[in-house]
Formats: sequence, C-alpha cells, structure tokens
Amino acid sequence: MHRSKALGIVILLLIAHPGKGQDILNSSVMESKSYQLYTQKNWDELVPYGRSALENGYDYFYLRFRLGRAHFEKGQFRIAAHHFEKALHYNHQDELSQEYLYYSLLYSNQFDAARKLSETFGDSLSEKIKKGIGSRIQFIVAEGGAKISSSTLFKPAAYFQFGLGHTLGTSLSLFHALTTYNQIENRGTIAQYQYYVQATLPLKHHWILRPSLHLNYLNYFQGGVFYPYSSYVASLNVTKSYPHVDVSIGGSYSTVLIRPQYIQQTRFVYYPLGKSNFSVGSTFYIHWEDNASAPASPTSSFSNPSPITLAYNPFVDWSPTKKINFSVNYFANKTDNIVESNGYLINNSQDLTLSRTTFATSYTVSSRWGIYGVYQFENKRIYNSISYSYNVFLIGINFKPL
Amino acid sequence: MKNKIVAFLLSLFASTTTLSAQDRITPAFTKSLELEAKGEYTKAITPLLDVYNEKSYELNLRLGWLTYEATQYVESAAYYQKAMTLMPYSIEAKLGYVYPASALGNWDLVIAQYKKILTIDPQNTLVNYRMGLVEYNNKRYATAYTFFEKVVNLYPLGYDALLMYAWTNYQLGKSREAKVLFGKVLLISPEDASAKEGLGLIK
Repeated sequence: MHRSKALGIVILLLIAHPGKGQDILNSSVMESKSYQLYTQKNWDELVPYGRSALENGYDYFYLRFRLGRAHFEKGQFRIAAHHFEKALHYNHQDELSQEYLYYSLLYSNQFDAARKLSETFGDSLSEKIKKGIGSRIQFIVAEGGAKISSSTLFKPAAYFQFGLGHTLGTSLSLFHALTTYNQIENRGTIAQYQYYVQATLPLKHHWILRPSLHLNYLNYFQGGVFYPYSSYVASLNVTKSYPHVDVSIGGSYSTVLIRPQYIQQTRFVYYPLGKSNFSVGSTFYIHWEDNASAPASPTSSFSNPSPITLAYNPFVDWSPTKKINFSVNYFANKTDNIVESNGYLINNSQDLTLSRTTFATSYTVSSRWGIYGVYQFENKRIYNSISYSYNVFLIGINFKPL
Repeated sequence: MKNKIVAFLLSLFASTTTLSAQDRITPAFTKSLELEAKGEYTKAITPLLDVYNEKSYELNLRLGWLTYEATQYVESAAYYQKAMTLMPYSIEAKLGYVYPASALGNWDLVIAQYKKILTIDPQNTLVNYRMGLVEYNNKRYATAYTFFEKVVNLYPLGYDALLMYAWTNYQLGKSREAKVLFGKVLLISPEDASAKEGLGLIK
C-alpha cells in the first residue's frame, strides 16, 4: 500500500514537473524567474527559459531585452540584435537597448546597419558611441599576387589591387578597387586595368541594397598590333538578414567580351550558432547571353552564344579567434565570362574557368593592421579541348583608421 | 404584428439570459472583492474566472486589475485589451491598461493609449500630466511645457503639475516664470525641497 502510494506520488511529481525551461505557470512566475536568471547573469539558462516564454505567448520589452543581453553575452550577436530590435518595438526610446543593438550589429559585422541605426540616436548616445562610428575612411587594402600556369603557353601573371572603403554620411558607404593585371601568353600580351565601385545602402528591416559598377580596360597586344577594348559590368544586389541567415538576390549586366550577358545570382549564408564567426553557404549563378547581339570583341574566339548555364560557389567561413579567420570555397562553372560576387570578379579570359578551389586566411595584427593570404587552384580549358590549371598566390594588408 | 410578437419574445429571452448571467456575476464579484480586501489577489481572480465571459466588459476590466495586482502583467494587459475592444471609448480601461504595459516596459504602448485618451478627452488632467512627465524625462521640454501648461490652466494650484511646470520653465531658460512658479509651489507646500532647489538654482 505504502509502495503504491509512493509510486503514485513519484508519477504525480513527474507529471507536475514538465522540465527545465518550461515551468511557466503565468507571467508573474515567468517574469520573476527570467529577472532572477538575468540578475544572476545565468545566460545559459536564461536563453532556453526566455525562448520557452516566447513560445508560450509572453512577449514584452523586458523579456526581449534580457534575451538580447543573454545572447550578447554569449557572443551570439546576430540573435542578440534580433531581440534588441523587438525590445525597441515596445520602447523605441530606450537608450540601453539602442546601444546594445548598435554593438550587436557592429560585432556581427553588420557595419552599415549599425551606422544606419546611429541616425536614430539622441544626443547623449550619439556622443557616447562617437568613436564607434569611426572615421569616414573605413579601411584601405593593398594586395598583390601571381598566377602560375601549368601550361607553357602562359607566363606567370602579375596582379595588384588597391582598395578603399569609406562612408558618405550614415546611410551610404562605398568600396573602390583599382586593379592591374598583366600577362604574357603565346596568343599575345595582356595589360588590363579595372575600376570597381560598390555602394552599400542599408534600408529598414535588415534590407541592404548594393549597386555596383565595374569598368574594365584591356590592352591586348597581338602580332605587333594593340587592340584596346573597354567593357563594363553593372550589378544590383539586395540582401535580407535574419538572425541565422542572410539571403541575397541580384543580377549583373555585362559587356565583357563577345555579347552582352546577364547573370542572376542568389546567395544563402547560414550562421548555425547565431554568431558571425562561423558560416556556411553558397552562391548560385544563372548565366545567359544576348543572342541577338553581334560579336563585339577583337579577342573573341567564340561565335555561338552559350545556352543558359548554372554555376555554384559553396563556402565555409570560420574564425576560431577574434584575430584569425579561415575560409574555403569551391566554384564550379560551365560557361565563359561569368561575373561573380555582385560584379566584383569578372572572368574575361578567352579560356573557360571550369572550377576553382580557394583557401583564404587572415590575421588581425593590431586594431589597425591586418594581413591576409589566398591560395587558389583553378582549372581552365582552351577552345573546348586543352585543359590546364593555375596556381594563384595572393597576399594583402589592410589598414583601418581608428 | 407577428414580427412584433417575435421581437418581444426574443427581447424577453435576452433579458432573461442577461439576468441569469448577472445573477452569477454578482456573487463572484462580491467574493472577489472580499478576497482582494484581504490582499489575496491571486485567489480573488478565481471566482471571476469561474463565471468568465470574454464578452463581459466588467469581468475583463476587473480581471485586468486583479491580475495586475497579482503581478501577472501579461495576462493583465490582455484582459484590459479585451475591455478596450468591448468599450472603445472607455478611458478607465485605457488607464488600466497602462499599468501592466508600463510594468512590462512597453512604453510605446503606454504612450499610444495616452494619445488615444487625449483624442477622446483632450482636457484629461491626469493624462496631460503623465504625458508631460514622459516628455520631460525624455528631455523634450518644449513638448512637456504644452502638457503641463494645460493642467496648470485647469488646476492653477495643483501641486504636482505646478511643480513640474516650474521645472519645465527652468529647463527652457524661462527663469523669471520659473521663479514665480516655484514661489507658488512654496505657498501650498512651504518646505518643498524640490521647489527650494529650483529657486536656489535660479538665484
């Protein structure tokens, strides 16, 4: 009898105790428990408890703020930003939430969104985070490298780029890159000069618009004759950020070689930990040519327009510490002259880039200086028959004025 | 004639139903009030939940208050919200709603309710005073001035608004007006520390 009673009590207790993070009887219990966890700085328990509260329909300023703070302290800045934004929906003038949101965006590399947010700050907060908004010049980069071919038809190519990122007010930032590329090959000599500019306009609700323009001037020397050739690529990309995902969609119009071409690109980036220090994703490209246009390039070796083709570019990006970053990506492609990364990379070689594997690493030396290195292995094909490859080595430095 | 008879019968049925509901609600309210008087707020909720009808303004308003007293702010806000939906022009429901909303930190919702009240009743002194406080605390002194001015015009010797009006004048650099107003505060509250502090700053 006693045994069965005791068993009954145990069963009752098991039923009555639904488990950790779910002991929410009413908002009073939930409020005091979440406040207790917050004051104890017990972020590990506060996160599942707060999530459970939200699932039970409890949603208000203090709960969102506490959840934001918990994720912030755990380094999950993307998720923290989401909760601070929700908190500000309930009290848009709360300066502490504004400040935490600002730093959550900043620490999750959403610099443009952070700058846009700072427009809404009052005088005291603006003054407080003045240093965070920083200089008009965001960064300066210089990189150089060489492309070494497996084929004797190509001498090593020399590449150099100078880049500059700066802001124009709080709502616009620009990235400029000047590039030179020189190579001697058995078909002729290439001297190429490029200018790329991309504007970044943060919009409301985590939308970012990025128009870009890439101007390309190619001086091709063949058989004692110079063939100058100019082209451009105009691109537009729009990105929407969620706590765990970035989704981008965009398109490019290119006049590089042969015929006008169109490239549609879609990119997914997944942050499984809600942190910016680890992400996986891929970019997918759809490429097609304007069939009605006549060949336009003196160096064109193709006469028939290519059909619609697909390319993809999966990647993994990881920063094991605040100072070190590693990334790997693979590019697979079936068409000539594809344009990548919102017009930043143009493939204007006469040879098809079949695939490319990239290993990159960067190291932050100090608050101002950083270095990075890139190795690429590129598979190429000439005239649909001869295959060869490139080993690309690149090093760069970047400088951030404080 | 036939229609009139049907309408009469229906109205009789409706009033019977209402009476029946009222018969159940009255003792529930009585019991609830008794428990509330003893400070047993959570227990005071139960009799009302036993007869709860979400279409009842009275039950929702009362539950809004009791759940607020029981520190169940989310539930309280929800009951007041229902009461406001049932009686859109009810100022008491809106004033009730701001208690849990402010306890939850949802100040945008508090201000939204205050603005709705002022649309219904622009001269509402309590809300004008509270809006003045909100604006003053956010250092928007010019806006605060208009709210406090309205209250002081309606109640020229009302202590709270008069004191805040004096401070707002001071913050706006109107020292002469602030001095007069602090003086008036001292008339009705001779040892008032805040008014003395204000006068000290002006001198």
